[in-house]
Amino acid sequence: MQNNLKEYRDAAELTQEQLADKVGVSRQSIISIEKGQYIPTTVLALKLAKALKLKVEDLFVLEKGD
Amino acid sequence: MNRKPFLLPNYFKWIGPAILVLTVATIIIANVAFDFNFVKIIWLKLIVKILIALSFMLFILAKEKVEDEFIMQCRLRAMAGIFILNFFCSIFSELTKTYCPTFFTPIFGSLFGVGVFQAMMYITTFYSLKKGYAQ
Repeated sequence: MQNNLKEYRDAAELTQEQLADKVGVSRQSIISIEKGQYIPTTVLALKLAKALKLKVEDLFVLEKGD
Repeated sequence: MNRKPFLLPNYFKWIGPAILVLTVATIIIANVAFDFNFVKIIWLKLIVKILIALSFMLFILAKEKVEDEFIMQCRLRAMAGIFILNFFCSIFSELTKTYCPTFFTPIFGSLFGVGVFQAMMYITTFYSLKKGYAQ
């Protein structure tokens, strides 16, 4: 699964720390999600989308093999 | 709502290593300064072993500063890895006891040795996953 978290976070002018605080997770979680090392649960994906005022499908996009 | 596992407060991340350092320091000081060997007294040796095991368990069971789903996944993956490692440790333990009793037996010949080894492997795996060094 591809994610556009970094692009949208940059566009929202938020640091990883600020976004992490907004959704109540650690900065390490945001780093791992941005690197594609960790796929968040639906709850966290919804929280991230809400924090960035986006839809979940804007942030996370299914790839061909998924 | 997800069920959360029992974990100790974050300050146990300091208490665990503090117990380990104090225990090791006591052994070294007693040995060097007073020529006192803990290994010779069975109940003292037992207490030292319990304290070492306890220090690792306190460290492992302590919460991270932010305990979120990513940390829980790292914890779960590290636990799963150690579960598999346990099988290999069991086989290795039997092999060393039979064929190489002097070399690896102090570590793999006892449940305590295997437990401490697994605790160290768990900590290494958990922090590798957390910091993104392993996937």
